[in-house]
Amino acid sequence: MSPELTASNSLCDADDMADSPPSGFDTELERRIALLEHAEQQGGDFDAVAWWVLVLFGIVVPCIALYLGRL
Amino acid sequence: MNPAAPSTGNAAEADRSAWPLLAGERTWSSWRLGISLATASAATWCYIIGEYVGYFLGFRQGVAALLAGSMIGMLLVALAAGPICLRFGVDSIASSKPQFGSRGWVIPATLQFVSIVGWNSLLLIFFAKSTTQLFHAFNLIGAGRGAYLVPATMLLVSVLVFLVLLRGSSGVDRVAKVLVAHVGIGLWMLYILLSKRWHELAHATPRLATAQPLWNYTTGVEIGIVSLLSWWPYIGAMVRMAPSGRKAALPIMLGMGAPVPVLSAIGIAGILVLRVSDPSVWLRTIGGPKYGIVALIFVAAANLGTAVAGVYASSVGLRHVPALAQRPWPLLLTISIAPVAAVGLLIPELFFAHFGAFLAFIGLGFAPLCGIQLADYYLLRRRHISVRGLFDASPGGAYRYWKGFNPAAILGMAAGVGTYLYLLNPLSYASHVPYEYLTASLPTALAGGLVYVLATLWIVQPAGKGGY
Repeated sequence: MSPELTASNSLCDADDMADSPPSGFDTELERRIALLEHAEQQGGDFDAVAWWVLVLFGIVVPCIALYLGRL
Repeated sequence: MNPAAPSTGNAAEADRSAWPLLAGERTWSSWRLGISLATASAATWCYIIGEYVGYFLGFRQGVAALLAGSMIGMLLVALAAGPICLRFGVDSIASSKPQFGSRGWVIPATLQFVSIVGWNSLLLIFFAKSTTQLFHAFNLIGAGRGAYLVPATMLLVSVLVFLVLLRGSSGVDRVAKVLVAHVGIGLWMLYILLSKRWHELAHATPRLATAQPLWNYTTGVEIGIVSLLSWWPYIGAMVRMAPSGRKAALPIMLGMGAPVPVLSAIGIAGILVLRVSDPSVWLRTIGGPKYGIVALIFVAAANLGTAVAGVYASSVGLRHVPALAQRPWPLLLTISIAPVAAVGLLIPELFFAHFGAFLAFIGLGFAPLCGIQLADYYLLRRRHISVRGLFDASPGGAYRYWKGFNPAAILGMAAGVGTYLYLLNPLSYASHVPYEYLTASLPTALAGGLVYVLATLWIVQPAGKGGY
């Protein structure tokens, strides 16, 4: 599901909040926070593929480099 | 209207604010992010980093130690600040609020500001010095006139950075697209040095190497780690433009992490063979004036791209200060650039001469910060973050703690700083066991995170604070 489609589902809620932000936030900031409180509106955390990349370049490559440097 | 599809005006405003970015605004592809990160990280600080490693290690060991340290440091930063920035489209300062509190974020903000001012000062001083040396080499200025050229160059570049950033992150992106070419020039310079001076390089003896090979090697790794910990302030402002961790992981590790050890090899080689790390000097020595001009263009391109990214990150961070939240963007740019210009104008030589101490300061500050963020996000909160709490400084806010400060984070930072100071003296580089086995930064991150966890479990959670 695209973020845009999901966002449109909460159109009314977000607009209601934008009219009268209960928190004292700037109206635009309140609108953004209200949207981002829905998990589907957030960016993705590191997933399995990302973790493979991080482990490969952040742990495996350094271990190999350290070994080669000590030879 | 679709609320997730921002209007042009709102998107531009968010871009120059610390507001969270919505999905529709986070349009950078992996490629675009990688280029921007590479442009930010590949600067002439690499030569100075390489120079310091070259004091202790030969070329092969130096490159290996720096590669290992850099990638370890990059991993720490990516895992510490990355997830919150990626999920909510916020900068690094906002990512620290769950740990430090709705007011305690001033601690990482101060670290960020000092770090970015320091690095940018270093870059611009380096550029000004290179320009002066080249002008001397071509007899374009008389003896003794260089004193005027250094501050003039500093001012000129500062104004240029200001103008580029008036457009917000689009300025960073536009500069990155052009200046990323300098990475290729850097690799060409390394090829020149390796091909023409390989024999000397292979047999060069590092000047300050101690009688303990393990200590020298560990120090190379440590310099790599602390250098990449410097990317903490930068990473949030850049990765918040990407839509997900999957799209950001490779650009972070290869775009932001790898250029430093690769380009630092130029500095290692330069200091070992020619006793100078500035490529605009040694490239002229090897290849004549034409090569010197190419090197100077490289230095200018590399430093401008990094300075632009740094000032942007610093200015966005200033938005968290309530008094500056609604101030005009040009004012924030001025506040970020002015100290850089001041350092370059008033104390350029003093600052340049104490680069080693500055590096150690980075390790002192950012290693425990990363340890605390890692422990909090993955261990204590299990990835549950309140986006509202990131911006809510009211007494009922999720991250209010005690008057906005979290004692666990303060204790964690203190434990980390104490650990680092015990393991490695930032000024003299005198060390204590187990520095030579573990480095100083890694135990510091561990100590900071451990004390943070214990203090949270014993003090914060029983008091019902912190939104746990």
